[in-house]
Amino acid sequence: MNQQRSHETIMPPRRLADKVSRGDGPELSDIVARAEAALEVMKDDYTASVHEDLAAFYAALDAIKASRGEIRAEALKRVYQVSHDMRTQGKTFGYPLITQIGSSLCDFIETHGEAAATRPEVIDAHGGAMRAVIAAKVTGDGGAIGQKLVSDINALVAKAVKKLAAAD
Amino acid sequence: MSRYNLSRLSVLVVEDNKYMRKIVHTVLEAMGITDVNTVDNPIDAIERIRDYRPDIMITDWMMEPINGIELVRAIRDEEKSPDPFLPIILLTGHAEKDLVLQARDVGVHEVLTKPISIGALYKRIVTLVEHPRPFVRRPDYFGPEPRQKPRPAA
Repeated sequence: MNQQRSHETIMPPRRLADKVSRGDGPELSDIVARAEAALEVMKDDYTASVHEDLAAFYAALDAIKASRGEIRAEALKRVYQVSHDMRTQGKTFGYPLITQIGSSLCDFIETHGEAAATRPEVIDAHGGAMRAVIAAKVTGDGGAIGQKLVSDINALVAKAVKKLAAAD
Repeated sequence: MSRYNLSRLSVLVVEDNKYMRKIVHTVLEAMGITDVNTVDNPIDAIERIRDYRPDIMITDWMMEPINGIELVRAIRDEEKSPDPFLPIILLTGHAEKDLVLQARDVGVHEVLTKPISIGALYKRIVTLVEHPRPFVRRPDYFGPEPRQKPRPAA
């Protein structure tokens, strides 16, 4: 009996299906087209939002360079949050390079934790690359320019990883 | 895929990034869901659930002062929650298996990776409609019956 009481299965009281009818809604392709058209209109706002994000990014980077201890750790967290937000939005608005560069920085911070703050040049390079992508409106994979940006970032990260390993 | 009229559903979006809130809102509107409410932090989400009684909550993972996982844990607390059965979709920038498992273990219904795909979000909502899962109450868990094998985040 106790065993039975320790594992109960309950049907939720509310059924979403009662509020949804089938067959008379839009096709998924129409939904995608409608959403993409609405997101296209938001593109200008997106560019403005990236500038706001980059301002917050560089304010946090300045704090990393100027501080130590908890304040620096907080600033690094802020850099991570802004980069995380930027990476989750770039691809949606046709800027997959922003997503790629933002992901690279997030990975670097996730992997190295607070030690990432000892390599501000890596953070700076990621910010600079994202700024360049937006300033030059480099959409899609950016062709040769995009690949050069990404390979430069990768090379810098690899160098920093070696220095961090040597410092351990 | 069948066509669904989702216009009578209400959705609460919990997301601290204003631009991402706008994106999710826009995508939901494109699906025909106009009854969308948004909050920018998990603390306000609990009160909003109490007042607004959404059919579905879509929440971000990384937020302050508590994260999305802690928010889900609070919602699944039967004694204190305004709606412990609320269907929940968690948005995350990470698709690693252990994070998906962590989401499952606190009672998340569906996990979706950012950048969000319009089709993937639509399919998650349709899954909530077409395949409602029974809830399980155990000493260590209250939430939707976990799938045998958690579906990877899309």
